[in-house]
Amino acid sequence: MKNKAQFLVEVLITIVILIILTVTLFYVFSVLPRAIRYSEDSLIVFNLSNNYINILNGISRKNFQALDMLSKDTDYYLAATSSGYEIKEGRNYFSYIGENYVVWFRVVDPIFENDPAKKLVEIYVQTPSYIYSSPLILTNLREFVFLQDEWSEATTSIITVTPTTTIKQFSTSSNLGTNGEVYLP
Amino acid sequence: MGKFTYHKKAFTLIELLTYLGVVSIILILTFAIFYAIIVYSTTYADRVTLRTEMYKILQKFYYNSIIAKNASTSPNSIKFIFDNNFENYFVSSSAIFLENNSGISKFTSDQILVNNFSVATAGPFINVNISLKNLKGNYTINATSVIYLWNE
Repeated sequence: MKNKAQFLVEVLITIVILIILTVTLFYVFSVLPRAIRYSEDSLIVFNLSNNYINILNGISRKNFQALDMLSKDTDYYLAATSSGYEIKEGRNYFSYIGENYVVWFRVVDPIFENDPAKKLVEIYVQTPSYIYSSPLILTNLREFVFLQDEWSEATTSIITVTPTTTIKQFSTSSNLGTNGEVYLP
Repeated sequence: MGKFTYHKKAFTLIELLTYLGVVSIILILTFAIFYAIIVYSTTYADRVTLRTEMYKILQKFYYNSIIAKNASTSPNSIKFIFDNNFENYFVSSSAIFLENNSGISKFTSDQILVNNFSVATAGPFINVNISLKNLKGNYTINATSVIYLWNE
């Protein structure tokens, strides 16, 4: 009887030791590599998000009208050109150290706080594990002067004007908004 | 002539083999765990150092893009101009150096090597391609920092 009890205790101790070792092995081979992976993903997310923030800020300063052309809740990405970056529809898929990543942005609210000069944009970075998003408010910082239809009409034309159904707009000029706003350069 | 006495053995052969088998498995598992921990610790330490250095460089460039008044570039350097100071980052001897009003200092750690530091402009944007590797040379980390001067 004593031998059987001793044998039972020995078996139980062995099982407990094996369970502890198996859990430790699982942690070392599964949890640790995943922790390293997540940590590396965080750098990629930080890098891509900040690049998109800088590029979108640049576009909003230089050509805010380009953002007016974007549709709400449609996926867009930024493609490098020789003169900067252009906005393209879709998502940017790329691979880095054997893992696949995706980056894109959406205009969530084209008239943020009921102000057409503000847009709420959401930047997304998809890693093999998660999708991270960062909100960004883009503002047309150029100083608004007045609407073109607030001008007094001249009796003689000195520049080309394209009539529309509601207001008169200049056909070719910079610093003019699609709604007839005039901005300081 | 002496009388043969029979002593009862402590273990039977099967019990002994079972114990040896269990002990062997435990030893193998323990060895595997320690080996994996050593390998992962080394890998993790190298990668953390690389990531920390890359974070430091990127953070500095993003921050400077917000506060700098102007910037000038060459293929291997970028110079940020502030109100009363400047910061010129350039690569030399596999390290990034920082030059400012106080002089020249090494910006990156001695634990890493700079594989690539190339600067290019595209319209109002400045693209800085950075590649870092550990001293053993078996891990590399790459990033491109897009800089747009907010005060432009």
